[in-house]
Amino acid sequence: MTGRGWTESLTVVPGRRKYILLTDSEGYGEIQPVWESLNDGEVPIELRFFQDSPHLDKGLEDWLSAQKMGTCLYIAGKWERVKPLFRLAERVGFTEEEMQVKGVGPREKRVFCARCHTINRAGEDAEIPCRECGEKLEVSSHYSRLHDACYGFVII
Amino acid sequence: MDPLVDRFPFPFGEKAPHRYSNNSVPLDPPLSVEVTPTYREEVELKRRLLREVHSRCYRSLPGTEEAQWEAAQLVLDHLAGHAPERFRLKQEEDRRIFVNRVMEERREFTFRDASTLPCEPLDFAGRHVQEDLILMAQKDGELILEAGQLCFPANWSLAFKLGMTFREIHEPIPGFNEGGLSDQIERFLLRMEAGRPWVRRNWSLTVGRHLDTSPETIHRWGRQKKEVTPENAGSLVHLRVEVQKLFRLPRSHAVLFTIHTHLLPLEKLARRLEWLERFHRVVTTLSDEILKYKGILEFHEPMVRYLEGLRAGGGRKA
Repeated sequence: MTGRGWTESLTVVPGRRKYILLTDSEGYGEIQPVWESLNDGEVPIELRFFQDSPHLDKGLEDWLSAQKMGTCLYIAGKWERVKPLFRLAERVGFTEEEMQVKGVGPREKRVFCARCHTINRAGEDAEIPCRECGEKLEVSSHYSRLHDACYGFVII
Repeated sequence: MDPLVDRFPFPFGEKAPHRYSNNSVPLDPPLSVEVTPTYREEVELKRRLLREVHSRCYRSLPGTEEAQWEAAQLVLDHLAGHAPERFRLKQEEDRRIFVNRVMEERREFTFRDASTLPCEPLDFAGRHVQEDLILMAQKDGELILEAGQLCFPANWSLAFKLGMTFREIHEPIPGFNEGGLSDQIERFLLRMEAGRPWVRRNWSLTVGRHLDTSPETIHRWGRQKKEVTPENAGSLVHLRVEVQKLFRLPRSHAVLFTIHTHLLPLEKLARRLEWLERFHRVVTTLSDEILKYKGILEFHEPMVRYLEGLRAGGGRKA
């Protein structure tokens, strides 16, 4: 997944009023260089670990929504954890310019069936059968943020 | 003389080979809709699709109400202006009376009061025109597909593309992001002004006379591509042209696209020798990448053999 907010590698953005770094054990290797580069004792910086689905963590949502404008957010961790965290951050008001998100490890792809609109789960396969209508789908890179899924073309 | 040929919006000029470009020109007269002799047939087909598969043909995001009312007002007003003997829109302050004599319908409603219509305003207006209607909201310097009534898509999914930016929508088109073209077109759309509409033509090929070439039904219409031979290409393969008209809506600042789809079988196209020559030049100079994207690759070879047979015979089968 690419697009605004999502990144292939986290980059240090100096000059912000505060930094928040969110990670799990899998994402720590990505976050650590950012932490070391920014943690100069002058700008506020907080590092938090998460393990469970952020859906369940109301405290995290309240804490993020209490942050002020100008706060820069970094998120790194397993795909299935960072995706809902990204949506949570968007929901509480972080813009995609204010955050960088990096997914780590194997990633499950969601594939939208062009025929019946079912969201299928796929690995790295280029073609999959739709679990609902059975059509053979070519997995594309055309991505919808609304569906959080890639388009699956029906192969005729 | 064939009225279908006479009114067909043939899209290819004398010189240009096919390439993606910002081919919009000012729209004159500035009307968003056109009523053709197939009006009743096409409106009935739209309504059947909306009845049977509404969530495929109509989508809107919250917050689009104002733009929808503006779009509905503009479309119905243009319809009445274009064909006043068949359509009428009477306005008294917020009260509207819309009369469609072709469908023998009369609807009274209150502008900006959704409870006075049987469906959302864009959906309502779209049930009275042959055009598909697409609304792009403009937010933070980006255009976002936020509502649409799409019954006759050229193999794209409204359900999937809803909520996408202009760039995201066009991401699958080969070469669209090369040479700054997508930037150029996006800038053009962002700068469009109210009262100065534009029009462009977009083309593709369809096997069979199908207006509804949706990805949801490709298992039906798509398989016909394999049946094309040099002998039947003239009647099976149709040049499909979308006349897309672009309007800036002054209050909501959204952009309305009205899309009127026209189909012409190649055997009729070939009656005009200059059209045959231009069409042949275009389809024989497309890259495989574009042929695949446009869904032509499967029947390209028999179609070109058909065209070459015609050219050898001066427009008639050699």
